[in-house]
Amino acid sequence: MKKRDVSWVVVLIVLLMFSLVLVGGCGSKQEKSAQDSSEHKEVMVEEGGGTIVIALNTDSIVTFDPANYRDRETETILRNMFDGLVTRSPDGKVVPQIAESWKALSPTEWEFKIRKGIVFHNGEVLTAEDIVFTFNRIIKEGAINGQTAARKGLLGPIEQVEATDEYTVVFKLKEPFPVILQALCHQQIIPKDYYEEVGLERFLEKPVGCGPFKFVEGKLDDKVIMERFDDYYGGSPEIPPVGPPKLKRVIFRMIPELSTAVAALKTGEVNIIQRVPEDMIEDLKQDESIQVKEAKGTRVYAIEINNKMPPFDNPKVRKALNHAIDMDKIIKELYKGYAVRLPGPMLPYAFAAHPNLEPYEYNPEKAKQLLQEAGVKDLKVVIDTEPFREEEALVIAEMLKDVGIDASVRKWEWSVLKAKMKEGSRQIYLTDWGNAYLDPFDFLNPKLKTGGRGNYSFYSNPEVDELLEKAGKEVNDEKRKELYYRAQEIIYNDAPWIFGYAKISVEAATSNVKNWRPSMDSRENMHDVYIEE
Amino acid sequence: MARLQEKVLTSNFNFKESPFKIKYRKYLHAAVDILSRLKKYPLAFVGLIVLVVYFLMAVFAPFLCPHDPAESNISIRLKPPIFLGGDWSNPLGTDSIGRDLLSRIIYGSRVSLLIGVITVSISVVVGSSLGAVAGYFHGRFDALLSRLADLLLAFPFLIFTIGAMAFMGPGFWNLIIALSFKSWVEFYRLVRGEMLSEKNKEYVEAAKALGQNDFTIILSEIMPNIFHSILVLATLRLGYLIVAEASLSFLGLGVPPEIPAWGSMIQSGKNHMMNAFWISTLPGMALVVLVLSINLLGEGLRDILDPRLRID
Repeated sequence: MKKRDVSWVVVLIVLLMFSLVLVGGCGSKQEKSAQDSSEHKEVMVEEGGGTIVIALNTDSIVTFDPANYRDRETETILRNMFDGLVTRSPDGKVVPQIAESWKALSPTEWEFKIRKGIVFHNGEVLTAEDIVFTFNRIIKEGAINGQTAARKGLLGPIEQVEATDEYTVVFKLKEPFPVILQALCHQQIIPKDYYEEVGLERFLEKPVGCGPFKFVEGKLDDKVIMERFDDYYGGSPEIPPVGPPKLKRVIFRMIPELSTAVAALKTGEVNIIQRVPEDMIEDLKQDESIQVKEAKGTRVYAIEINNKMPPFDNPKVRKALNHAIDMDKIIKELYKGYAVRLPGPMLPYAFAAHPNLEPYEYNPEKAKQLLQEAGVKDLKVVIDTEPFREEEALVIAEMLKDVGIDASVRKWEWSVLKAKMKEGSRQIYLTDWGNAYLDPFDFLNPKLKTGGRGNYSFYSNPEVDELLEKAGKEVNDEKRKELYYRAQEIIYNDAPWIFGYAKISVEAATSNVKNWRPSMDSRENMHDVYIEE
Repeated sequence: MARLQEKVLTSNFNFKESPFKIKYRKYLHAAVDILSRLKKYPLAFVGLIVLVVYFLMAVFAPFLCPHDPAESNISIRLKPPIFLGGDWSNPLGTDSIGRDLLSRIIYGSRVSLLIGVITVSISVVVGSSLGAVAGYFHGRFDALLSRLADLLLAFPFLIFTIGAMAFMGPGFWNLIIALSFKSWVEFYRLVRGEMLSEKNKEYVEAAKALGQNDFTIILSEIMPNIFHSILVLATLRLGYLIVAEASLSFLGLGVPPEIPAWGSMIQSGKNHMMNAFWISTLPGMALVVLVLSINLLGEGLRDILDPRLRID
């Protein structure tokens, strides 16, 4: 008994000490943060601006080399340090940036006039030489220390880039390239002399561009810190205000979990988050310290079907699948209405989107009948999805069960799923494909032309191939439109996919972030943004 | 323990009963003995009762569930449980695609218990028989097996099973194979050690002198005396394996996703922690209560049967 008393006393003492430590810890922390913010304020008074933190929904970006990546997150970061010849306004319109003006000398020759008085972060003056160097690094095979740039594919038929004088550049093309301006929005200019002097390794340690912010420090899988570039030329005159950026510091943080990002936004740890989960939009809208904004999305979400594999090689079966899925209900309930249903393959606001297609009607009876006509009985399918669309896949599986198809769901990491799809060994898969150019050239060609690089459905129709081929070379917009309309009609009737939806991209920021709105291409250009005290 | 051994010894000299009857009675005596002694350990007793309730729940799942656990209705998705303002049609709310959580939790107990019990049974049978043979004969076979056991023990359990599952792909039997692959080692070591110390005791020598063959001695002389240690270890391992199953299901490496399992339910609610915490929390609580009661029972059994294993 006595022993027990002693142990209780010990426990009490330990508890007491623990709570003292806790209280003490909290106190000093508060003091420290108070000190921090007062220091911070002084800095701001002196230099103006402030710091903004943006959460990116990825665990790591790819590189600091503007020529060697394909993902949007890397681009989002680099775009704040590097400018391009042209850029896009938040609504997706192409506007001049480094280039002052341009004209097509012929369908295969484009001339760009370069703005004078642009300097890089290291003081080097930007001339036509830098433009030529940048593009040669991308389009020439093996130009990056023997490796070919990952962005070469985006420049399609650009064959040669020449400087005709100090501030004029001419692009020469193998064949007409109707979306050249859209394509150039995605290429960032690097300084020739600096790169040649330091080489690739050191360029990656300290990247130098001519964008509004200069690189301070950063790790690809953690965060990237940049600082205002005071000698910035001002940016595109068509996206006011023009001049040096207002923010002092921009920090991009990689936060792969969306719920973590939302929590960080609520505590004010980050200022901007992308891809707000639909279920949390209402909750965030209620919060007065947070602003929620929307932009049209440029990603097409569909359910692709393996067109080569029986019984899906029969268009009747594919149509039956389209009739079996209640896409409107999925959009309304699962995505809370933050998506636009697509009747066919294309975004409704893209160039040459067919205006008169009607979405396949939800009609399980008709689906059953079509399946019967096609002679399909006891069909068993596995629906493949990436983890982020698992819920949708499960709902689709349930809907397929209603028309007598035994469907189950399998989750994959994208890289694994992609390899499996390309083998042609899977049946039905949930995929998405970006169309930031808002032009079918950049979408129908890779997705639905025979052998296209993103043609995971193995759809192949010679008629469509021919139409796409013709449209790609046509310079007259009206004629191009007609060709694409025809192609979309055929695709609609062949139903190679279960046509899906385009998500509305919803982003949120703390309410002290001003002059900010989400872009259609999901970039976060911080040039015009500022933080209100 | 002494009493048990005495009983074993006396019954062995009773030649009138058939050997099978003797063995059967020995285990029955032991079970009654354990139960009567368990009453003095209230926590272990509560653990036993909770475990029995879970077993009944798993067995009678189809009669207890208000809904089909696979049936989804996205019109009622993310419905809160009754104590957070939900209604009685879904007492514990619904998940992110509108499936009834109560029904899924009840069905989930099937996966957890089935996998736990089957894996423990396989481990007990494989581990004890190998351990008994290795310990009793103690030859080259023992040396070889013991090195293999050491090798397997050198791998962290969960990482090993993750690798195995990634290799074999999700599936009910694959999961059992992956979990059993390593967990027999614990039983092997226990039985081998006990066997080494038991085989030199007098009653074994007596049995040898009576002319019984080696396998009879192992099965009906020595095993009954180390059975209680196996029982204690099996109970403690059951809890561990259920958690391991849930961890693998959480990572998407467990049973196929069509079968409701607690681990995958916790995982599916991860993205809704901020707006619908119950999707993850409720199956998590079901798991905690089950494993806690198994551990309480296991520790009670250990105190009763094998005080040597006590750590304090």
